[in-house]
Amino acid sequence: MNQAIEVYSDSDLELFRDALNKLFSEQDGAAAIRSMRQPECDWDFHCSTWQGVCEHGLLPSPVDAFDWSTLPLLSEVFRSMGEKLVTLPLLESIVSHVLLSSVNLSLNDFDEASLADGRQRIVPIQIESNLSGSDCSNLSLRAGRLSGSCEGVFTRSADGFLVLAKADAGVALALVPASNVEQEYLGVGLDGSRKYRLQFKDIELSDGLCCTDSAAVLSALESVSVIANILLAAQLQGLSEAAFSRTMEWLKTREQFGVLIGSFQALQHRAVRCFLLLEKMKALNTHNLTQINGVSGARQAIESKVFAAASATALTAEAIQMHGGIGMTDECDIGFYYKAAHTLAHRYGGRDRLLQQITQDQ
Amino acid sequence: MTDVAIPESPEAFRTFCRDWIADNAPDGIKGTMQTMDDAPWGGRQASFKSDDQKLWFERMKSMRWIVPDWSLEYGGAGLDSTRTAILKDELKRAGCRPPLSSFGIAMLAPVLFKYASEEQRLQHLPPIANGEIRWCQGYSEPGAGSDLAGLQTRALRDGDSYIVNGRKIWTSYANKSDWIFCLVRTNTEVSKHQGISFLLIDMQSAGVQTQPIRLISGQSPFCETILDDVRVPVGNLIGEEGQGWEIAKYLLGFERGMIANASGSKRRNSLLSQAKALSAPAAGVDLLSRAVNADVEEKAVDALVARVQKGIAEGALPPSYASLLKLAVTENNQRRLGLEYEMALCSDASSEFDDAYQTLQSQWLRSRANTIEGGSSEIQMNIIAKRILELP
Repeated sequence: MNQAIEVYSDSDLELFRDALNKLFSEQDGAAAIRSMRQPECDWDFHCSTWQGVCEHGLLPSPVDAFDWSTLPLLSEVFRSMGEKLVTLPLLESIVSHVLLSSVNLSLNDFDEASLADGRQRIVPIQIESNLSGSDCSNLSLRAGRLSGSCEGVFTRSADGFLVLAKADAGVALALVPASNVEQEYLGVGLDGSRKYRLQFKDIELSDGLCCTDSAAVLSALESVSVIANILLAAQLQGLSEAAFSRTMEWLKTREQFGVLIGSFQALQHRAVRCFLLLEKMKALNTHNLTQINGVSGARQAIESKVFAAASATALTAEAIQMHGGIGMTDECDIGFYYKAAHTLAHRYGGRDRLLQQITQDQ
Repeated sequence: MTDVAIPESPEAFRTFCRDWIADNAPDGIKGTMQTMDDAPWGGRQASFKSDDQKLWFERMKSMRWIVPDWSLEYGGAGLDSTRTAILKDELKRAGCRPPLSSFGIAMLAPVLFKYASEEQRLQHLPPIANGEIRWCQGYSEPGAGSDLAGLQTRALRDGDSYIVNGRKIWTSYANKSDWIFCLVRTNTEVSKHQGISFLLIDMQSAGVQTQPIRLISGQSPFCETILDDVRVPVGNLIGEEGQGWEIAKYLLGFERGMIANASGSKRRNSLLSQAKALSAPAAGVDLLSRAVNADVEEKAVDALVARVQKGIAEGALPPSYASLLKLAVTENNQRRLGLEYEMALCSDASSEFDDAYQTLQSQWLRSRANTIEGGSSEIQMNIIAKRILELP
């Protein structure tokens, strides 16, 4: 049985939250998303915020095994990112580093220190939709040569790609410098993130840049799944907290029929339902976070993600409803939470796939 | 009380508790409480489901451990909070059920501690602590359910007594209870909330009648209680005249906590495992999906209960959060029992006339009351909206 991970004291967490609040308040998340939607925009995230996050030393090492005791603090970062609608390539970097440290690929084409402090970034490819290695046939690795193409949300300033590909003996991971890959901008996703198509044209890779031990790759993916689900649950919680808070403010200031709309019982009961969803989400996330100390926490991580996803999508939909017509406009930020909730809910496995995993495992 | 010396130090006390429980807890009182009826209710008409249940009640009573943290003069053992927590921990570890189910302990006692005179405490607390007197609650009336403050039962002062007339409804187990704590109207000249008082009435008084109400579950845990010119000593008034609404609200917080506990997820077996045990094609994909969803939901509710109970106990959360628990737990209980019943209907292994099936059917039907009793879900939402969310 795993020992519970270290639980940070409330005062430690409060200090950390204050620091994150200060850091993330430097940018307006909704405004950043609006900017990123413009075709002429040449950035995918706020560089100074990214540097600020990395300076906390929370990026996992790309060489050493993942330190599970950092999960509560990482969760706090993702909660704050959700709350402030901040877009950063943090999950991408965490996933890459966890995989790299698990399969020991050569980092000769990169600077280890720069990876550790976020100045260089390696982006995972095909991992998100293929955590079980079930279908990654878009890309194949045969005799040390990588071919194929895929689409997804990638940051254009990546220094390298860590690719999950089909191999003769199952699945493989390949590390490819970004300069070897053709990138084509496709457009903007639901949450404002920018999508690209990547082309890998028969790229020759040395042995040190490939891991064809399928069992080792699948094992590393299990860790990634636990970490990603927990962090996404935290991000979904953060955005739900913010959407709820904004909605409460609206109910207490908006007047119709000569009275504040928050005085109507129909809206009060909707608000209470949202509050209950939020409180259950917070309680479950907090509880499960104290139980997870490795891949044996897969079930708890799935529970947190599934519950947070269902609650956040429902809560943000209610938030739009309670805002009324203004909630449907792009001018009002509340819609961004709804879109973010739906996007995050489907990252690293949607509800049906995750629940199916529990059903099969039990 | 037993003459056994109780150790003072926490370590020695834990060992003492563990040994005592090993020597004194019969096997028949171990296991999860499914309903409050799984422990005896005490009172003048006390009955026990088994010899083990009676033995456990008497042994715990002899130790004054039915309410171990109450002081000696009130019938408790006077244990401090540390030793009380140790005892509860050891009882839980050994899987022991409570020795007594009691509205007196769960609901009335907090009111007596806060609002009653010392004389009233000494009169009523020891019989509660010893399970000698069973209490019921006289709040709702045929015309005052969710609008509780609209109650019409009148208590008119007549010398050293009140003369009480009215009808109370949904008085749980009134026909088996010895005393009733009642909300009565003592003043009709002031606002409806200000005219209410909190009165204790002996059910053996002349003019008290009870009529069980048959529910959709086939059971009759609730009664209608008729008060017809019942003479009640003025000394049975708790607090001041007109203070009843304040006391009523205070008590309701404890009632909601009790309902949340009683309706809580006592059955720890997962719904998914029950669904998977059904033979195909009875457990279709939809049933499996709903079962696993319900398991996750229940875990979230359990986490919420633990978090909120801790928060209220430590003073970090206001008592109004009990309404959030009541809302969450009762709805979860309905969802769980609904699915369990649906699975029983799908099962080839159970007959409609099996005891287990009948019990489940009764529990499933009974659970519909969970979201009505003790303040309906809609009332809880009103409370949460006003007191927690501070909506206008």
